[in-house]
Amino acid sequence: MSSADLRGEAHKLLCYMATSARNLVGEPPMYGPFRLVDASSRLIDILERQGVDDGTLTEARALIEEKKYLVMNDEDAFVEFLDDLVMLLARSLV
Amino acid sequence: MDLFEAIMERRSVRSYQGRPIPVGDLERLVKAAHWAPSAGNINPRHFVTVTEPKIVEAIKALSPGMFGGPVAVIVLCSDRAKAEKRASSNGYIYSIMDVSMSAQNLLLAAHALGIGACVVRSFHAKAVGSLLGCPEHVVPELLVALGYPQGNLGQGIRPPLEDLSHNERWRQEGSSHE
Repeated sequence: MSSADLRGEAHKLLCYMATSARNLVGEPPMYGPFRLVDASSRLIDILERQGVDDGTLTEARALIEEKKYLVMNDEDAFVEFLDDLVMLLARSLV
Repeated sequence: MDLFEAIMERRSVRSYQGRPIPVGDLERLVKAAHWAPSAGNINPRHFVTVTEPKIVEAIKALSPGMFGGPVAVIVLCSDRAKAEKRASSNGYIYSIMDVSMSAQNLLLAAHALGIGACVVRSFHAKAVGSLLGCPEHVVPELLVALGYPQGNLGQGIRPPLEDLSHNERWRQEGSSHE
């Protein structure tokens, strides 16, 4: 990915995050964590395309894409997924 | 396609193939949206069909509620000035009802054509309106993302109808009255 492409991708992600911040003022509270994990997935996608990947990130993105829509019909399972995601990422910190 | 089957089968689609939608089909979707009921017959609706990939991507960047890679977006707008002029303080409510009814027509028409669709309210209306060159009094109210579905449509989940449906009078909990 060229630096211009990276800038474009980062710009789109920032638009997404800023719009999310604005809209969350009046949206259901559970949309907050939903947007944050979705933004995480989008960031990992950009990093992967930059060749930055340690395996854990790819695993985290796959987990997010598999589970993020739980927020719409099973909030308990969604929260459980958030715990799993944090634990997955935490394991690779050290 | 039977209408009742279409209503029960339709699902929000958030994963799409990259295959373009024929222009004629997009026009049919807009026509279906146009023929929805209009509160007070004030018809404050406008429909902007977007297929240019760069613009679709830009709309998506401003729409946290939009997922996957739709090949088209139909932006349902209300003319707030016209609505207020024709229905005074009820104008805004009327226009929101109109746009919602148009969206439902559009979703069912898309399903009938084998096109996946997802209605989106989580977006920045002012930014999207500016991107599309809408006049200030014309406000994007809903987006409908479109594309041929990728993968299964998934299971629809609704609260039990018996908890929400009432006959003749409001049924209170523990009451034998139905």
